[in-house]
Amino acid sequence: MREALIARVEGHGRIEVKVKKGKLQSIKLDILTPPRLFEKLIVGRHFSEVPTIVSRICSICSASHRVVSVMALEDALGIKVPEEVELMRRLLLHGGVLESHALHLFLLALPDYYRKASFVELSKDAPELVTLGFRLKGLGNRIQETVGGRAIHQITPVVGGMSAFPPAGELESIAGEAEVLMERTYLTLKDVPSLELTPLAQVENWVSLSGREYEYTGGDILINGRERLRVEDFSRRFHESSLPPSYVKHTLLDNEKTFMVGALARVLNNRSKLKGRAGSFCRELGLTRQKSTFMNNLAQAVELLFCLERVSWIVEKLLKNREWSEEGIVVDFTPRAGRGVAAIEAPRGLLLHRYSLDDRGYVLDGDIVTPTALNLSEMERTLRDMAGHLLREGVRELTPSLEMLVRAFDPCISCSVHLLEV
Amino acid sequence: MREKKKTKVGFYSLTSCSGDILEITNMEEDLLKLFEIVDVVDLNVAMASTGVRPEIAFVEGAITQPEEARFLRKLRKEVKYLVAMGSCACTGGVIARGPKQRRAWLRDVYPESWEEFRSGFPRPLRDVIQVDLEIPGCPIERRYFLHCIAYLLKGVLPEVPNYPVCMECKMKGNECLLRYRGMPCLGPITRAGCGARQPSRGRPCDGCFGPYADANLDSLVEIFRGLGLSEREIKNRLDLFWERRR
Repeated sequence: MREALIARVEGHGRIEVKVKKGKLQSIKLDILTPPRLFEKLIVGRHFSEVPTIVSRICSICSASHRVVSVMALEDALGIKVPEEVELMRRLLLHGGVLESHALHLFLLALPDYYRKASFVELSKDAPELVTLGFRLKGLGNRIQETVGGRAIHQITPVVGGMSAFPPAGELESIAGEAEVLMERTYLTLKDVPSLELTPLAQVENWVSLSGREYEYTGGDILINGRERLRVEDFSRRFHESSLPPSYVKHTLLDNEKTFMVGALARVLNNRSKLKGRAGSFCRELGLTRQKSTFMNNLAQAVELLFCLERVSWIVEKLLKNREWSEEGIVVDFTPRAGRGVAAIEAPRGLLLHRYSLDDRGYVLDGDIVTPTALNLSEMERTLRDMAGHLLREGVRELTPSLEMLVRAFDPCISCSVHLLEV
Repeated sequence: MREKKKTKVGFYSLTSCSGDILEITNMEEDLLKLFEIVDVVDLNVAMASTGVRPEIAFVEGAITQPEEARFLRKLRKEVKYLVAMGSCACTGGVIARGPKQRRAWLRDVYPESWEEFRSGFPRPLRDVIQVDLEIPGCPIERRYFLHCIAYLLKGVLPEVPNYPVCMECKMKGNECLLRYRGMPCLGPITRAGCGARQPSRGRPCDGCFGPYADANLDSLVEIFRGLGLSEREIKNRLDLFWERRR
C-alpha cells in the first residue's frame, strides 16, 4: 500500500493506492480537510450574514462563493440589480479567476513541466516565468482588493447591490496593467513545453454553464456541448452519493457517469465564443481536439488571456457615460419567504448555491455544491485508468504521475467538505 | 564571510479555508524574498514537506480532530515560537458555532458514515497548547504578518495593537456608520489592525480581529438596543467571529 500527501494543491488530500503483485487493487482519493458543516452554520442566520459566512468555505474561491450566495439570495427575495452592479461583480469574479489560475498554473503546475520541485526551484532557472506568474496573480488580487475590498473574503458584494465602488483611477490603472500583461503572457505561455505523459487521461463527460457570451455568470448548464439543463433543474440529472469514510460526497451524472468541471469543460462547451487573443491561442493549442485531462492546465492559460482582455473591456464599459461615485448601490427591498438558486463558474468549475428563507429573511436551509466535489469521481476514475496503465507498463514509482494528474484538476480541497444530501 | 544560518520556518494548516497561508502567498514576488531570508521547511500549498523540524511554526485553522491536537502537542515541543494565525486558530472562528447541535448536524450531512467521524467542536490552539503569539483576522493582514516574523527572527515578541477599529476610521476620516447610519458596527470593541476595511466600504465591522483589551461590550449592546435591534439580532451580530465556549 502506498500513500502520499499531495503537495502543491490547496487543502489536504491524499491518494491511496493498493497494489498487489504488480496489479492495481484499489485507488482512492482521500479528502483530509475535516468537515466544517457550513450548510448547517447558516441555518437560523439572517440572509444578510450568509455571504460573510459562506465566503469562508474557501479562501481561494471566496469571491465566487460570496457573489453566488448573494445572487441566490437575490433570487429568493426577487431582487433585480442594476447593470453597473452586475458588471462590478463580474469584474471581481475575473479577478478571482486571474489570481486562482495564475497561482495554479505558474506556481503549482508549471514546476512539473520543467521537472522542478517547486516554484522556488523554478525561479532559479526561469525567473521570468515565476515573475510573470506573480504579476498575474498580483493583478487578480489587486482587482479583488480594489473592487471587493480584500484579496480574500471580500466585503462589498451584498444582497441588493455593492456596498461601495472603487475609485475610477484605480479601475483605469487595473485596465492598464491588464493590457501590459496581455502580450507578455501570450508570448510566455505559447513556449511552455508539453508534458510527456502516456496515456493521457481522456475527458469523457464535461459540464459547465453556457450563455450567450463566454462568461462566468449566466446561462444554462451545458452537458458535453449538447444537452442543456436549467440551473434550477440541476438535481434532476446530478445526484450525490456518499462513500465513507471520505468527507466529500461523490456526484454522478444520471447515476452512473463521472464528469469534469472547470476551465477545460468551459472551453470545450464555449470555444466558439472565445474571441481575440484567447480565441486564437485556444485554436493554436488544439486542446479541444485532444480532450486530455492534462489540458485543463492549458485551458487555464487560455482563460488567463480571456480574463486580461475582458477586464479592460468591463472597465471601459463601467466608466463610460457615468458620473463616477464611490458610493455603493443597494436597491430597496423587503424581506419575504422564498427559495432561490444561482450557479456561477468558479475558477475550478460549476458552483451552485440554494437557499430558502422564512418571511423575516432567516435561513431555513441551504445547499452548496462545489466544483471539487463535482470533480471527485472523475479524479478517481482517471487516477484508476492511469495507475492501471502505468503498472502494466512496469512503472514502479506511481506517485509523481498520479500527483500531477490530480493537480491538473486544480482541486481546491477546502472547498470539498460540506455537501449535503437534497 | 560565512553565511549566517537561516531560521527554519514552517507553515501548517488545520481545519480552515487555508486563507491565512494564501494571504501570505499574496505578498506575490516578495514571497521569494521570504524564501531567501528564512529556510521554509513546510508550506504544503507550494512544495512537498522537507521533513525538517521548524524553529518557528505558523499555524492556521481550528482544532476539530484528535490527530490535529496530537500534531500540535508534538510541534509545540519542537519549536521555539508557535504562532496562531487567523481567527479559526485564535478563537475557533466563523465555524465554531452550534456546540450542542454538532453531532446531529454531522448525522444529517453524513447519514451513512457520521459515526466514523471524530470531528469535534472547533477549538482555538490555546485550548490545547501554549501559544506564543496570536495574529488575528479573517484572514490575517499580510503586512502585519511580515511585521511579526521580523520581530520573531530577532527573538522578540511583537506588540499587538490594543485600540479599537474606530481609531482607524477616524484616521481615514470615515463617516461613522454606527452614529450616522445606524448600522450595528462592532468597530468600537474590535481590535484594530485591518485599516477599518469594512467601515471604509460602507459595511459595519464584523469583529473578525476579536475584542481589544478594554472593550466595553455592555455599552455597545445598549447602543444596539437603542438602534432597535432584537436580542436575537444582537446575539447573531456578536457571535459571528467571537469566541464561544462549549
